[in-house]
Amino acid sequence: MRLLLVEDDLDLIHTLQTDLERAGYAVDVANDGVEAKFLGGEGIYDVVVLDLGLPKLSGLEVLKYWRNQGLLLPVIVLTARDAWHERIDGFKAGADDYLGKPFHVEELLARLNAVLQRSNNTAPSKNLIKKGLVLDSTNQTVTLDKELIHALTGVEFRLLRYFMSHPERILSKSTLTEHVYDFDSDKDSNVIEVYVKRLRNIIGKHRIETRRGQGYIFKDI
Amino acid sequence: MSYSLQKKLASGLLVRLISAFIVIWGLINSSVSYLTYDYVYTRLAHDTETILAALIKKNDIIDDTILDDTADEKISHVGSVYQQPFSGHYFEVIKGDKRLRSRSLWDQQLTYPKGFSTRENRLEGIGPMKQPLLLLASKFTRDGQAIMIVVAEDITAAEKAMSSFNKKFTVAVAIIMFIVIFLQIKSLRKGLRPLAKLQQDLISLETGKIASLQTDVPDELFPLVTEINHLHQALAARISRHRNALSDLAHALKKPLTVLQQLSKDEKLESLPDIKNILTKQIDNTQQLTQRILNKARLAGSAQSGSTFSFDEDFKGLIETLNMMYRDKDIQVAVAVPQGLNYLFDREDMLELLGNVLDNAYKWAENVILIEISQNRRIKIVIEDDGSGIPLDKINTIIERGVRLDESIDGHGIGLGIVNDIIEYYQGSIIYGISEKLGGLKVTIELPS
Repeated sequence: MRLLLVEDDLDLIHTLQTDLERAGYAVDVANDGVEAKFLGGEGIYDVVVLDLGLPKLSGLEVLKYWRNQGLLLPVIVLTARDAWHERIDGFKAGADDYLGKPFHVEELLARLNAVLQRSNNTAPSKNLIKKGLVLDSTNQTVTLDKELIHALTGVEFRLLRYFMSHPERILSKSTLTEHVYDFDSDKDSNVIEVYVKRLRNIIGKHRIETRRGQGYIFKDI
Repeated sequence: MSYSLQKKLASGLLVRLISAFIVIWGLINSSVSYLTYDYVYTRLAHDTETILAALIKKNDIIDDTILDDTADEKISHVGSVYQQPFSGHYFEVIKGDKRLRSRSLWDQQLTYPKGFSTRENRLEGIGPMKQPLLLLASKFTRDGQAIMIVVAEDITAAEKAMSSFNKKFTVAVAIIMFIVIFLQIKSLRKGLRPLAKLQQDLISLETGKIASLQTDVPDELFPLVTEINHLHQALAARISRHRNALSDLAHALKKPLTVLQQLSKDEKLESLPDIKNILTKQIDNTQQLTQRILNKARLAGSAQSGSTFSFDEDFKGLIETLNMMYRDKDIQVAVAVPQGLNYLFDREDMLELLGNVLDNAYKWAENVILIEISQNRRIKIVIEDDGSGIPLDKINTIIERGVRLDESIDGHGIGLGIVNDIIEYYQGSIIYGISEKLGGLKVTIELPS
């Protein structure tokens, strides 16, 4: 899952980015409102963590702009301005969730999880569950038929989570690359093929179908 | 001491107008009767002259022969009204002990006060048939011979005319007086209308319906209105500056706190559990202290900041926000808010109060939350849920601790602590109990209106 972190405090970015990446998110950072406004419109992010007190353009303005443009990507507002009237303004502007600073990373991760699952029309739960597969985002493992537990590498986890979040849909290699890697990663779409192969070995070949020239489909059977 | 300007002006005006009208009424009434009597007396004087002239026609002297047997004959042509019995016109001529009476008197006498000395006396008396009379008694003296002529006229008709005039005049005066008073009070009201409007405007200003008082007022009120506007703006600006500064301070403090909190979770600290614990605890304490104190300092207390809480819009927004926050829980909220609640409460304070109490209810509720707001002399807010609730004794510890701020509090503790601060600030009351309807927590808040 590709995440846009909009925050202007460099120290906080440093620790938060590490935590988020460890939790399996490909993280890009925007340091001010104008950059955030532009990046959010790119259509490559699955979720945004948005600070409200931003230089150049306030987070609330950015959020309103996105919603006016018809962008539905889930946004979690993470702000020190957490009085109730500010919270109401945040939700009115189109936030999906609102978290006051200071916060616990576990809380943020839980909310990210919930917001993402909700945006994929599944009831939020700690684990992502598809037929016969349970993806545990805390330990980054996958359980097959309630028995076999496989540990996943970072990229494997991200890729499988994206597949499981978008079942029965054609996902091109470039789409998968976009949502699994951040800007700074070395993006080679051929690497995706390698990782798909590895996933097939773990969860079964029939789970991921290849559509020649189009991409892959995760089968929820 | 309070008094009404309008009542004071109106009562003064009433007293003066009524007394003026009474004086005018009395003057005109008495003038009319004086003029009428005067006119009658003048006529009587004429008749006296005629009678005297008839009596002394021949020799122009007054002697004993004047009232001899021919006297009747001499005065027969003075006027037919004196011949007709009880016509209302009478005379009497007295010379020594001789008397000559007009035929109209028939066998009656004139009754009038006696013993006058001057030449001409205006008298009132009673005549035959109990007629009210005006009498003119004149003494004539010539060469030591004196004669007295008394002429009388019945004034029943004049009295009647006068009393009829009197009645009409009184009614007319009364009507004119009422019209004048009505017009005066109307113009007084009109004159004082800017004051009433100013009063309305002040209420609107207080409730935040208008931002400043209108300045199209009479010259006398203009300085007052501009001064109130000036003060109001200064106060609103100060509160909003104060709040913004606090909000910025909160923001500025929370950023480094957030970084510190994230740092305290760093893996490198795993090997130093003591330091990590102290760090975590102190950061939590600082955070809660900051939040609590800033929230307390932000309280506006009255509607001076300009925006008041709207039970329609703001309350709806709050419920929508909470529904969004807890959308994964299946919670039904029943809200009973009477129409037209009229209560001045700062928007941000009220949202903070209700937000925290409702957040707690949403957190604990299983399926149902009841909110009931009513207004008597105080505004009463009852919030009930069907959750397992926090045991009552624990609530008190949470609030106590919240007040002392010296121990770590779990998530909702700080919220209820803030609620307590707001209630205290507004001199209201909050009671925690068990909901009879739902079995969960019941929070009853009362605030003075």
